[in-house]
Amino acid sequence: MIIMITRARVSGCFGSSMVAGAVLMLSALAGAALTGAFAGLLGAAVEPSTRALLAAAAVSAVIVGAALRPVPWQLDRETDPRWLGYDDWRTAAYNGFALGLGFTTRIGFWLWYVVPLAAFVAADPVVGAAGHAVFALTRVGLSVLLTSADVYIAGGITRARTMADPLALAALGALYPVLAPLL
Amino acid sequence: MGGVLTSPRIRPALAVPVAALGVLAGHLAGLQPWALLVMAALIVGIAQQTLP
Repeated sequence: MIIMITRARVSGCFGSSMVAGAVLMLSALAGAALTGAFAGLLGAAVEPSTRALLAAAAVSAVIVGAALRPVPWQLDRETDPRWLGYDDWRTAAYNGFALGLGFTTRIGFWLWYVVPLAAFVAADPVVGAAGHAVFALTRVGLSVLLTSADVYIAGGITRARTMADPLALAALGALYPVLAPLL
Repeated sequence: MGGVLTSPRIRPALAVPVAALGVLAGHLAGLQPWALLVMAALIVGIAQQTLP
């Protein structure tokens, strides 16, 4: 993350890490809001009973996946390293947007799936966008804060899963009672 | 659950009751999708700081 921020430059006179961090953050919010709004719109586009069936199938599939393996279904890659070669605002903007989208890079935790699934179930693009924006704020905002404070969290993903995986399973389970009245 | 969570036998056995607890909690507490959305977004955003 620090490479993304320090390599980001915004047209010379704006070439500060503050501006780069802001560009990163705003791009992440944009990417997240788009994803969340899309998930919410998809939910709103189908009849409640169809939405319930689709969501129940997806929730069940993710529960089965989470029950069988610790590493979630994901694109096991980081943001494109070629973006670091840009010596301008694009490094921050592209990285931020990709991290905000979430699913185009490593997600690491089954809990991530609860976010778009809950947005789909909520069937409201505004709620979806707001929820995903919370994800972007936490995901990228915290990274920026940690980087600026020179704090790095290396590894620990297995330990983090011991907390995140039970929460993911419980949250996925908690979606079923929400779906039942829609059928 | 640590290393236990990676065991292909124990992991499913632990997952089922936890998911069932979630169903019960969702039913009793009347959890709304937006609340689950925000909770998951916050926690996964924090957890992803450990990503390699």
